[in-house]
Amino acid sequence: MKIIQKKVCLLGDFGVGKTSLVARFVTNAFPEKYLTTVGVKMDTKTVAINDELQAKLILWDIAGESALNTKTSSYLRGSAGLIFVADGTRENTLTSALQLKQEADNLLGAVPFVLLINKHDLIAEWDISETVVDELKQQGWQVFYSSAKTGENVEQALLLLAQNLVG
Amino acid sequence: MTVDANQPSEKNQPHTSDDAQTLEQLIEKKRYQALKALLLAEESERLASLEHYIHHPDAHIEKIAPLLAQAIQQANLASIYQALELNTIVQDKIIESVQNDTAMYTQALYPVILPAIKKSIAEAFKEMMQSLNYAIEQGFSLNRFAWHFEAWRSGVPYREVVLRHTLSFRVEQVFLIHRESGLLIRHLSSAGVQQLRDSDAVSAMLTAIQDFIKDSFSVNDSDHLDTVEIGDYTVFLTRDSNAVLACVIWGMAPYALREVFDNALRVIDKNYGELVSNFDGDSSLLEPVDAILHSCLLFKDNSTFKKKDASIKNFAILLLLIFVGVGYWRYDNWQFQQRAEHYLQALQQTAGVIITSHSYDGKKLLIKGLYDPLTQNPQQRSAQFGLKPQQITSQWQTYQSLEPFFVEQRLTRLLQPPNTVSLHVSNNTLILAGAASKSWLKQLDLLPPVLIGVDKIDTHALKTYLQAITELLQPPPTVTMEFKELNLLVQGTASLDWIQSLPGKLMTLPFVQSYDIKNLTFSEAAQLQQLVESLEKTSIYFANEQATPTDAEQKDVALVADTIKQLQALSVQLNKPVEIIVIGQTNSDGTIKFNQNLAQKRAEYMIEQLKTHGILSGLKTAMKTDRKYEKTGKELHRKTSFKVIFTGVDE
Ligand SMILES: Nc1nc2c(ncn2[C@@H]2O[C@H](COP(=O)(O)OP(=O)(O)OP(=O)(O)O)[C@@H](O)[C@H]2O)c(=O)[nH]1
Ligand SMILES: [Mg+2]
Repeated sequence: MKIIQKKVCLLGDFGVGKTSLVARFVTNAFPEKYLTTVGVKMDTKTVAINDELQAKLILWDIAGESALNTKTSSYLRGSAGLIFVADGTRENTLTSALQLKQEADNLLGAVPFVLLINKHDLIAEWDISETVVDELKQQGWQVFYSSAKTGENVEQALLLLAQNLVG
Repeated sequence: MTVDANQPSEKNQPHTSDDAQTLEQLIEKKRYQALKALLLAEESERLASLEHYIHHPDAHIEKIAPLLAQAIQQANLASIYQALELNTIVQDKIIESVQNDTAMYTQALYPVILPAIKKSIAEAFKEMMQSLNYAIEQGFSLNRFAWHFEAWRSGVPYREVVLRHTLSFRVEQVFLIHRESGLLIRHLSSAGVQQLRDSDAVSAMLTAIQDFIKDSFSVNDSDHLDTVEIGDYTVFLTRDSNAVLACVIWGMAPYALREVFDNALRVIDKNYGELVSNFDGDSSLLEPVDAILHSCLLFKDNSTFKKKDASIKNFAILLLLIFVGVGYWRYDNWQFQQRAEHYLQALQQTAGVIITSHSYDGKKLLIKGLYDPLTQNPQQRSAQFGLKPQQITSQWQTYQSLEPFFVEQRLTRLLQPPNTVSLHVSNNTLILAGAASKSWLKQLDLLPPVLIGVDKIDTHALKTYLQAITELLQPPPTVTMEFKELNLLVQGTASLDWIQSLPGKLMTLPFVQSYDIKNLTFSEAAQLQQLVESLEKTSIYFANEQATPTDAEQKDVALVADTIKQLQALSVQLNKPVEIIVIGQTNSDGTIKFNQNLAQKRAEYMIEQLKTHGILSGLKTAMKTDRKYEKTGKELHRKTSFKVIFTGVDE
């Protein structure tokens, strides 16, 4: 059994659910209360890729922002993969995610990534058009509708990313 | 003591001049030269040719050059320096040029020297602290009790507590961290140390902290976070271009450990640099590094610490102490000034404190001023700034600040308003708003404004509790309210809606602690009662021996039907089920059987009539035949009348 560590950063506007997604993924819990992340918070989770290989994801949950600053950029260094998160009930957070993606590309070059459009349980307040998402998918983006609350697609997205990282 | 052999002879004999040589000496010299020529002829020749070498260097430069080049190639600069005695030459040159242009050198060396000085002072301090701590520990045997207590409190075995306290340091954990990604390459901890829950996250966190500190505080690129202190723990961080070595040390971490760690990192880089630099998350590849990391898990206990202390050359300690002493004195003085300035600044920014004068007398701050007793005593605050009582002489007098904040504070103390009253001072007017008890409001009337330091008291937004309650509840005129000892008594009749809204509304009034609505009745209930009474008073009259009422009575049937409808609706609303008994009645004339039959018919007729008016249920019949023989007023008994029965359980 071999374990490979990979650093993965979560990027996205504030309040989109990065911390909640990590909590769902790591401890399978969903704290309703919103406590904004200050600076950066780390967690780890090991996922099995196959019988001989496990990926240990070192998740860097970075304070939400619509664009990178010097501090957040330095946190990105050495990242093997990225998770972009948007809040499906706030369209502008998708714009932020696209902006962050561009800036991260400039810093890191192309690394495996996934885009989570989160809070899919709040479908009544949905604010993001299908066509935009389809367009991204056509460009080869891995886009997931996720929910930290119900757990929808959380594990799937991270597993896919982990496979892209070590596969 | 050794003495140069020439010295005593010079001292003992009077000095003679050079040209006053004796004959004897001349002969001696000649003989010596002849002997020399004879013995050293060959050497003289060689010497001459060497002299030629030296006096005409240009002629031989081609021969020397390759030699030099070769020497330089071998990079044996030190030996060239030595051979050529360049050391002294360079040194002299440096000294000379430093003397010529001191300013330039100071400027050039400043960035190098300053950190070095800082470091050495810090180090010296730490060392001093170490020995102090040690002395304290040794001299204070009460510690043992404290350790017992600590062991008892923390549940750690006593032996371990003693071990902890008698250790001067112990490197408990070593993290080798990939510099770029912050991934943990290897992690070791010393035996008996509790394993970390998630050392990978710690490693990532350490990296993030470094980045954070660097981005936030560092002036130039070569500044890095060296040390992190957390309680009893110190984390030393050393780094090269590929990796960061973080060592967690319990106790007094001697600075010398840094060298050990630096060295370990160098060895790792030398042997595994390639692997570390290409680290891709697979730590098993770097397992051999553990052996090197192991060498970092050092510890030292106090007994050996003490021995070693004594073995340090006393001279060096003395020098160090003098240096530290001078440095400390200056540092201390500087620090005192800094603290005093911070303290003064803070006082100046505090409302209710006025500094009338301040000055320094050596290492003492003299300060005079006024303060409002409602702020913290300025004297007491000095400790927060690290100033000792003996470093300050102060004369404080109290005064009453006229700033609104203080006036408000004072008035709050004086008037003690309930927390439902807000108190503000603006433009010399005391503005009170909210609700209060009558007695509290009454005392306000007795207060002349001048007495409390304002021109006017504005109470137009002030109400009694009852007024506030009345305003909120808007009771109908049929209700009376009383508010006594925070209990609200509500009496009278009101609509069901109003009564039901009461608890919710009262909850928003913090001063209403309880309420009593026992004697409050629904007005709907009263209405129901009224309808019952009016229905029971109504009769429909019939002609003699007739089962249909007179035409004149027909319109009364409509009225009755209307009353019954209202009554039934209310009974549903109030959840008070009713049954209406329709009583057929006759006078006493005729046979009993006939009369019973007639009464039955009259009641049934009535029910049929009511049905046509839409009343389909809730009706029952009953008969009543008067047995007593009436002389007059027989017509008054030929009727149907009504009786309402409440069938609910609570009735
Ligand atoms: N309904 C719903 N609420 C969510 C979901 N994910 C997160 N939330 C809520 O959204 C709020 C913000 O979530 P966080 O996870 O703290 O967001 P964040 O992106 O970490 O925010 P910052 O740290 O400020 O950048 C919290 O109140 C969460 O409970 C989700 O999938 N569904
Ligand atoms: Mg967060």
